[in-house]
Amino acid sequence: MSPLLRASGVSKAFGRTRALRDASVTIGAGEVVAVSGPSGAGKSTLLHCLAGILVPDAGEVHYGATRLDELDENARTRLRREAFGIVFQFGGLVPELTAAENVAVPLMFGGLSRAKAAEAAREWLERLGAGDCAPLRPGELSGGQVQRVAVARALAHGPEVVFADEPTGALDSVAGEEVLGSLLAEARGRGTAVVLVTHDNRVAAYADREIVVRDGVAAESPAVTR
Amino acid sequence: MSTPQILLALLAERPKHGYELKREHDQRLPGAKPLPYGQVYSTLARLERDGFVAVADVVQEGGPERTLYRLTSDGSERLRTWLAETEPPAPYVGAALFARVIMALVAGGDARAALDRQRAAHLERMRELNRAKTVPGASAAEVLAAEFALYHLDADLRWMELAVRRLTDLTEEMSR
Amino acid sequence: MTGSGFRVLLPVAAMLARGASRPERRRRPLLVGCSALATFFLLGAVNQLLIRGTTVTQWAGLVSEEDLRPGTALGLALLVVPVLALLHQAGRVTQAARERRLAALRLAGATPGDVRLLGAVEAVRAGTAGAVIGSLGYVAAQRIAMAVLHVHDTGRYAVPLWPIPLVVAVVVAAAVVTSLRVSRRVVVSPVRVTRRASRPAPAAVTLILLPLGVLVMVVGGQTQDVDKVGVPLFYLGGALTAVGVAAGAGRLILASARLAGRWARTPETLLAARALEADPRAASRTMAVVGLVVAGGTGSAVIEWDVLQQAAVDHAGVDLFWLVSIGSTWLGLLFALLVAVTALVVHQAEVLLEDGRSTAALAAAGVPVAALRRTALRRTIIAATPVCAAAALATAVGMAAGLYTSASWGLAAWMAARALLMVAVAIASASAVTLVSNRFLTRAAAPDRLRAE
Repeated sequence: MSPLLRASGVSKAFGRTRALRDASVTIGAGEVVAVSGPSGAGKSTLLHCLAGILVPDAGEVHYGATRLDELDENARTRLRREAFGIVFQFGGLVPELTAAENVAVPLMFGGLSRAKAAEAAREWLERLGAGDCAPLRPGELSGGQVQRVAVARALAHGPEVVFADEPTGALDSVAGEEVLGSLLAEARGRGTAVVLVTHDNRVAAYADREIVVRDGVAAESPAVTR
Repeated sequence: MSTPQILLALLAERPKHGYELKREHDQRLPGAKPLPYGQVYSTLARLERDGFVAVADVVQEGGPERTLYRLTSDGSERLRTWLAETEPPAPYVGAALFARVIMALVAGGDARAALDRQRAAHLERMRELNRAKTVPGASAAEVLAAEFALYHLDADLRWMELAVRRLTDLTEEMSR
Repeated sequence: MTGSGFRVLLPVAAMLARGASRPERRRRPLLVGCSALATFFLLGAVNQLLIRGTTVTQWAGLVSEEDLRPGTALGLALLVVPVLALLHQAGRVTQAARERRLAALRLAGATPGDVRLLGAVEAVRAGTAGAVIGSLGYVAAQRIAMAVLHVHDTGRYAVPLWPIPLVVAVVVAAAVVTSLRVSRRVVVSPVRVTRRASRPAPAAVTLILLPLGVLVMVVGGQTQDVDKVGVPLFYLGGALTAVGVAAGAGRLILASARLAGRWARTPETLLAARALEADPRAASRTMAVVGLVVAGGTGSAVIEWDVLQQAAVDHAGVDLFWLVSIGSTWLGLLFALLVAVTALVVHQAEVLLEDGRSTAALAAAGVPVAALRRTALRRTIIAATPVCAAAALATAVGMAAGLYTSASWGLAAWMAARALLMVAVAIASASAVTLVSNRFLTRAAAPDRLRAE
C-alpha cells in the first residue's frame, strides 16, 4: 500500500507538557487505522498534527508529496478543506444552522453554489440514514443523529482522509456502532482512509490496524503470531 | 457446562427428539461448542433416570424410530430453579492470561512485549468477530454471541491496559 | 450553606473573585467603569434640576437659563441609556463560564437564593466602587471646570452633597438588577446549564411604536395650538419613536436576517444570517443604541437647518449659544456611539466565547479564519442596516413634517443627506469595531478550543 500520510519524529509540547514525543506513523491510502491509548496520552495531538490543524515543534508530516508542517496556515486550511474531513466527539456542528446547512456550508466554502450544495447535503444525509434530520437544528437531534450529520459533513466533499476524534465517545454502544458502521462503510466504499482516535477497544477493532499512543510515544502494534 | 439444564429448557416448548435437541442447541448458542450427538443421548438417559424427563412417544416416519422426550413436573421444577439461580461471577478467559502475565514477571520475561503481543492477538480476534457480526444476513443469535465474546475480550484488553500502567509496581513487588 | 447568610457568602464571593478566569477578571473594570459613567451623568442631570434662577450668558444658556435646564438634564440622563446597555452586555460576556461555576456551587449545596445573592454581592462591590469613583469624578470635574471658566457664583451651580448618596444608591441598585436579570437562568438546575433561553422570536407587534411615534410627531407639528397641544404631542411622539427604535430593533433584525438567509449565496452570509435569526435579541441590545444615535443625529439636523437659515437671513455668523449647544449634542452623540460600539465589541466577544467550539470546528474543517471574519462583519451589517435605516427614516419624517408646515426642497435634501450620513457613520463604525474585535475570533478558532471540557 502506498503511504498517503506519513509522520516521522513528530514532537509537540503545550507549555511544559510534552504531549507527543518522537512519533512516527504511516497511513496508507484507503486504510482504516485506529489510534488508541489511555486518555491524555497524546492521541488527539497526534491526530491534530496529522490533519494539519497543529504544526509540530519537531519532525515532519508528509501528505503525499507535500510537507504539511512547512505549509503556511492558508495552504493547510485549503488542504484541510479539500483533502481532509473531520469528525469530532461532540459533532462540532454550528448550532444555528439546520443539519442540511451544516453539511452544505463547507461545500459552499469549497466553491459550490448554494443550490448544488444543498442538494448534495440532502443526498449525503439520506445515505447516512439521517434524511429526516435535514430541516432540524442540532439542538433538536439525538446524539447519534448529530454524529451522522457530522459524518456527512466530513465525507460530502470527497476527502482522501477522514480524521475522527472519538466519534462515538458521547454515544451509547449501539448508537455508536451504527454511526461508526456507516462512516466505515462509506469510507471503505470509496477508498477513503480513516484515522480513528479512540480509547474504546471495541471501536479500535473496527480498524484494519492499530497505533497505540502511550505517554506521547506512538507505536505500531506488533504483528499477530499464532 | 450446563447441558442438562439447557436440554430441559429446550424441552419446555414441546416434546422433542434427540436430533432436534442437538440442532436447536447449536442454533440457539452459535458461539458455543457444538453439542456431540452421543452426549445428547447420555444426558437424556441420566435425566430420565432422575425423573426430570419422560418418554412421550416413539414415532417412526419412514426412517429409524425416534423417541420423543417431554418434561416432567420435576423437570419443570428443576428448570425453574436453575433459571432463578445466578451464575457465580467468576473470572472468564482472564484466568490463563492472568497466570501468563504474572509468570512472565516471575520468570523475568518481557511482560510488556508479551502484553502488546497479546493485545494485537485479541484485537485480531475482535476484528474477526466484528466481521462475523456485520456479515449481511447474520442472525440475531449470531450477533449476540459475537457481542458476548467481544465484550469479554474488551474486558481482557482493559485489564491488560491497567496491567501495563501498573507494571512498574508489579515488577518491584515481584523482585522484592 | 443554606441559610448561613452573609457570614459564609462573603468569603465565598471573595474566593470566586480570586478564582475568576481572565475574561471574567476583565469584565470587572468594565462593570466599575459603567457604574462610574452612569453616576457621572445622573449626578449631572440631578445637578441641573437643582440649580435655581437665570443668568444671561453668551453661550452657557443650556446650564444658566431656567427654561433650558430640564432639557439639558434630560439629555444627560439619556446618556445613561447606552451606558446601561454596555453594563448589561458586560454582565453577559462571561455568562457561560460563570454559569458553569455557579452551577457547580449549586451542586455543592448552595440554594438558588444563595447563588442569586452571590451575584448580587459581586454587583454591589463593582457598582459601589464605580459609583464612588463617578461621584468623586463629577465633583472634581465640576470644580475644575468652574475654576477654568472663572465662574463667580460657584455656590449656585455646584452640586450639593445630599443627592450624591441617592444617586449612588440608584446606580448600585441598577447594577444589582442587571446582574440578577443576567443570572436568571443559572438558578434553574445544579446539573445542567441551559445554554440559550428559548424565548419566542420578537413579535411583529413590537414594531407598532415606531410608526405611531412618527404619526404623533407629525400631528403635534401640524396642530394649531402649538404651545398647549402641539409641543407636548411632538415631544411625546419623539419619545415614542425612540422607544420604538429600541423595542422594534429585535424584530427588524429578525426580518433582515430571514431575508438575508433566504437569499444568501455565500456561506459567510448564510452563517451570519442564521446566527442572527437564532438570537436576534442579543444583537438588538447594542444595535438599538446605535439606532438611537442615528435618530438623534438625524433629528438634530432639523435644528441645525433652522439655525443656519436664521444666520443666513441675519447675515451674521451663527450665534455662540447655538454653536455650543449643537456642539454638545454632537459630543453626546459621539459618546453614545462610542459606548454602543464598545458594547458591540463585548457582544462580539460573548458570541465567540459561547460558540467557541463550533467556530473552532469550522476552522479545523478548513474554513479560513478570513472567512470567519467576513461572517462576523456581515452579521454586523445585516443587523445594523435595518435598525439604522428605520431610525433615520422615522426621525427624518417625524421631525421634518412635524416642525415645518411648508417643507422646502432644501430641507428635504439636507435631512436626506444627514440621514444617509448618520446611517453610513453608524454602520461604518460598527463594522470597524467588528474587524477590530477579530482578535477574539482568532482565539476562538484556535485548535485548543477543540478539546473536550
